[in-house]
Amino acid sequence: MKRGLFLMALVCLMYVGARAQRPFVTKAALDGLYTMSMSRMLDTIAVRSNFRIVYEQEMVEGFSISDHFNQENVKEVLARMCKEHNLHYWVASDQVIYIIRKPEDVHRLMKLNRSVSPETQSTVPAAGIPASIGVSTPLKPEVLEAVEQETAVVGSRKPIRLTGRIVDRKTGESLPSAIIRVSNTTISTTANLDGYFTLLRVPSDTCRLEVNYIGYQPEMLQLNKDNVQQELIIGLFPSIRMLTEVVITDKKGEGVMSVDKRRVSVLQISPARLEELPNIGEKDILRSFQLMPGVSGSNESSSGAYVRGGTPDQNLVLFDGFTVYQVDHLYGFFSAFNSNAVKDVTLYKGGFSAKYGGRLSSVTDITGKEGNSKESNIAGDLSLLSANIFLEKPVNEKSTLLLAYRRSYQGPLYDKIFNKFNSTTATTTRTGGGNTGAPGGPPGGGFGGSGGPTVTVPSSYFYDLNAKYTYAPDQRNRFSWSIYQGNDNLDNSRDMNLPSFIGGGGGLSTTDKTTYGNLGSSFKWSSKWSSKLYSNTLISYSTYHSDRDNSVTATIQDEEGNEQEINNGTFEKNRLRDFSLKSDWELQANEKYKILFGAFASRQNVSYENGQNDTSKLIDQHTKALTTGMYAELELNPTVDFQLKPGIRNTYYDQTGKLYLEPRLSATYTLTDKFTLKASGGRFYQFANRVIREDILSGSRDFWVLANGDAIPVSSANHYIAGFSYETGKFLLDVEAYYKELDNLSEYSQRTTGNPRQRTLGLEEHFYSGSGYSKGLEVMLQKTRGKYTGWISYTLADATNHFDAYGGDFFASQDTRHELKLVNMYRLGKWNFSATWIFATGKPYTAPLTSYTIDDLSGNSHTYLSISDKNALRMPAYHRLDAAVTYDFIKVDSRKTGSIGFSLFNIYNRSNVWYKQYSIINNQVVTSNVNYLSFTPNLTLSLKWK
Amino acid sequence: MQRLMMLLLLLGAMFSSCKKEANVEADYTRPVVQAYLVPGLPLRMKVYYQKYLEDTISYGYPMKGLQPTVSDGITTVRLLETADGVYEYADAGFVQDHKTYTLNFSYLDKVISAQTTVPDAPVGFTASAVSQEVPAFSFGTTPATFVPVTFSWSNPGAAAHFLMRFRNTTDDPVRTDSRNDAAYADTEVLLGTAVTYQTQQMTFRFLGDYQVLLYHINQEYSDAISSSGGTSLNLTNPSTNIVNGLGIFTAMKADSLSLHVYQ
Repeated sequence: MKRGLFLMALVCLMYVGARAQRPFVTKAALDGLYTMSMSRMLDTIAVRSNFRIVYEQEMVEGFSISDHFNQENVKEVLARMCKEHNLHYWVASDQVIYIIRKPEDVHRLMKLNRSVSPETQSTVPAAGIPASIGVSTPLKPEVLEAVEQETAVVGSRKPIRLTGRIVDRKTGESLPSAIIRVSNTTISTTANLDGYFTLLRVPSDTCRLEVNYIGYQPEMLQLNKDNVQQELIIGLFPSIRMLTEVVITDKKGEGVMSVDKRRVSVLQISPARLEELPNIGEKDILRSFQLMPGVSGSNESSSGAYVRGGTPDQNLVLFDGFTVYQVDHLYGFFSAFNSNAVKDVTLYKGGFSAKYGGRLSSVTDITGKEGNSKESNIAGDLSLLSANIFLEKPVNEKSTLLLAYRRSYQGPLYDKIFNKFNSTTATTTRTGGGNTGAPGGPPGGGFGGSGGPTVTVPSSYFYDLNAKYTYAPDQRNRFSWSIYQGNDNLDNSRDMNLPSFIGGGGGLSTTDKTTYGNLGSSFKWSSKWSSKLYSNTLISYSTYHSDRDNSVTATIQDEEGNEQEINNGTFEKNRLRDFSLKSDWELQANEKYKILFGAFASRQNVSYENGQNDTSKLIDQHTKALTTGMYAELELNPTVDFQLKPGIRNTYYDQTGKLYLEPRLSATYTLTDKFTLKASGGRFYQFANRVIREDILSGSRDFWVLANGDAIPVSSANHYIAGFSYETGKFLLDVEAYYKELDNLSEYSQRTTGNPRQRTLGLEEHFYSGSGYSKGLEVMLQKTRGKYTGWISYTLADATNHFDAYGGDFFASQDTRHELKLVNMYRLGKWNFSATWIFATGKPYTAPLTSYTIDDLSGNSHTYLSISDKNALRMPAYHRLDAAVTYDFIKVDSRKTGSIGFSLFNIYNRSNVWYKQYSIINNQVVTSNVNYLSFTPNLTLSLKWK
Repeated sequence: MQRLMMLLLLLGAMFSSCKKEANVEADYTRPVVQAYLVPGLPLRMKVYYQKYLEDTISYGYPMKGLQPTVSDGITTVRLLETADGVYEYADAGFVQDHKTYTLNFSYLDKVISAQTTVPDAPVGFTASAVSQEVPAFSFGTTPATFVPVTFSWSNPGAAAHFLMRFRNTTDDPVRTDSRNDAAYADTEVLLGTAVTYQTQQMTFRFLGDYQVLLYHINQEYSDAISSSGGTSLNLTNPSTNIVNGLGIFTAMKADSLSLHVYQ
């Protein structure tokens, strides 16, 4: 490895020596007379060029510079300076410049850089150089002091107020939820959605700020009398795996997933690091949450989150502020969000803020990327399932554009999953050109010209598109327009051409087509009115559609050439339109109080139709509902150790004409540096429910309905959560217990009355309502630093429902008693190894106990299954092992980066039972298991042009 | 660290109250009842045992030696076992319009009971035609279009449930398609609360004279006959109106029209 690095460095040096230093691209220039030490000069260059410069004090000791520059590029200055003193510079892939004498120095300096970590930083006013700062990093503490004395004369002792913004240094992208802390104090804050933060009462302008953000290298910023006057813009570097071989001490971990010990039941994820985890076919943001405690990991057929005994529809999914109603692709095996277009994902497992509402269980808040504001970039991923392309571009100085598109192709992996739901496909032979395995090929294929009947199978696919345009006219206002569209087109239709000797020719086509998806768009205006007041106003529109067409169309042509079409089947259509307006405000009144308040209004329009053809509709429902309300939350810090967040949310729902009051409370208490106690609770209401159809193999599997206070009541929940976290240098232990009461839950069943073969008749709808509770204990031990990182997560849980229609108490279908997840990641140079093992108690299910047969009035016999109590039996335990290897081939000039990943799903090929199928063969009831995915390998190639 | 463990234990204690798995032992002893009460016909009831899942018999074993009674509120009559598991009351005048009938018998210390009321006769039952042509299908020719016959009736407020039954009354009827060799059976269509029905080609596999019966049924019939799911994700207990038993004990009232089916 060292040898490799050495060689690489050598090659790079030769390259650097032979030509102008291409990777070190800067427009910064020096003008005027400079007489100073070399270390001071390096600081100056760093500040001007936005590059971090790492050097050893002894290497530059005694060297000084005295020169007059006339608009000279700092690159030239650096090159000349190095040449004069027989030194070289080397630009690392993370844009850090290392001053070296010989190639081996690079590796040593990198180690030093990581182990000591950035010690001091100087910021430049935002007005000077936009959206970034320059830093040089002397490695010796004494130098640090010297620099401090040179720059920050004498610190004032008067408490000061700081405001600023946290951004990605390479792309200028804001980093929401970054944690900003004043060193050696408990004064800290979290950046808001646009990366803005305000710290009141910072003890002095000689303090140091620590900034941590998941997936990024931690940054330190030395305050001085100049930078405290300005709005600070602090840039973070993405953590580069190659450079983090060394154990970093005293810094926040750089793991894939983080748990914020100051917040209750919050999980955060870094999409940038997701590829290190094993996957089925795609880096999947929602799936990776399933590795954490409290989020069930044994539902392969749903990317939606089963959080703490809740169902996926009880989880609010927000993408750039608008509600997304369909969160998965391909029957639930993949989540609908393209991780390349996502910046930050936060999951609130319960007891969440009054800012969020309308769901019983949890909130997944996804923030899309804004796009690189500094340079254009194009990137792509190719896996066995899909192709993914991503483009980001600064449109002008004030605006950026981002586009991401992903589309599946009907490869072996897609087919494997598709066929689980459509067993008939397997027996259908494919004919026609261009439809056998060509990725992304056009659907259909030709109808053979021969005389016999020909059968063609159209293609199925999913795609999603993200686009975002961000315009920041000034430092205070930002506008962004975000669009998300995702669709699944699942087609199991067959066309058959009848040869002409049958009735003069014609065709028979069986349509079995399910399409569903989302289209959502939001327009956001965020404004920083003053250092204390910040607002975020959003207009959004979100639609969900699900269509199912299961019909037979026969086209018969008579001798005169007249075509006659006969159509019969089932058509289902579900539409949801949501038009929302909301405004969220934050007021940092003083260092002890912060007030969050806002108002919201949402118009939802849901329709569900079920019919045999266009004229005969069995169910034709249209519901419109208006939800309006407001909320307020107080963030109190009576002492530095104690934080209390009481909140209240009040919602008016016009279908019931009632007001729904939701009090919320959350508190954390820092007992010692390492030990934090936390608790939260609240009341939650839900107005829109997604009902799951009983029969997953026919019809759309689910659809959304609005509560009407009658057959579908407004459901409610109470959360009670308590826990603690204990953090040492390398480990984090997080324990939370919860109890959740649920009331007015709805279940739905649809039953066809009559002879199903004739498809004539009525459809009965049954809504059942009941109550329930869930309780659990979650334990997570995480190793946050080092070559080896990972976690052990254990959840003990119980989810019980009570429906009179089912005879009282029974275990909810998603109930899992024990869940153990082991996540291991190991870094070795450019190699990344990961392995996850999931164990979960089997889910409850209902089984037939006996059968009986009776004749109907006309003497036709019918056989029925007499069943056990609802969910009285348990499936065998679910467990599986996944592993992945990722190799980074980062080019030395940091311009082209890429990685190749090989992932193995369900390595020991465990047959995990999904459900049991009962069929009556020869009067006997035969039980067969339908299993989840068997061993599945996958290969992913990722490339980034910049 | 010790303190931590203590806390963990304490939180763990919250779960000491987990409940026991529900008893899943089958209740094989519930008798399966099948009885359709139609005014003017003798009351006939079949009682079966349930079947084990691995049984290959078509029907459960007949339940013999029961002493069932049926009461119309005034008179209580005893049904007699005329064959194994078949119980009858021969007086065809016993089941009358609008009366409520209660079934009772005991089996293994349990009283099995059920109740049903004879509904009103359907009102306004009419057909768009008295005959139905079923076009012949053969190679090389274009079949003529099937023109359906529409039956209609009234159902104010969609309160009533209906069932239609097609009964071929011709002796030794001719098949519409000679390749179809399935044995003759009446065709039955559950109509829910609909007020019209159009015939379909598939309904008529035999030619000849049909008696088209429109039954006003109780909802318990369609609930019991409608099928339930076939996988562990969607199983529900079949609906029944028999207390401590399974199956159906229901009354109905019919009106009928004639339909001639030809080719």
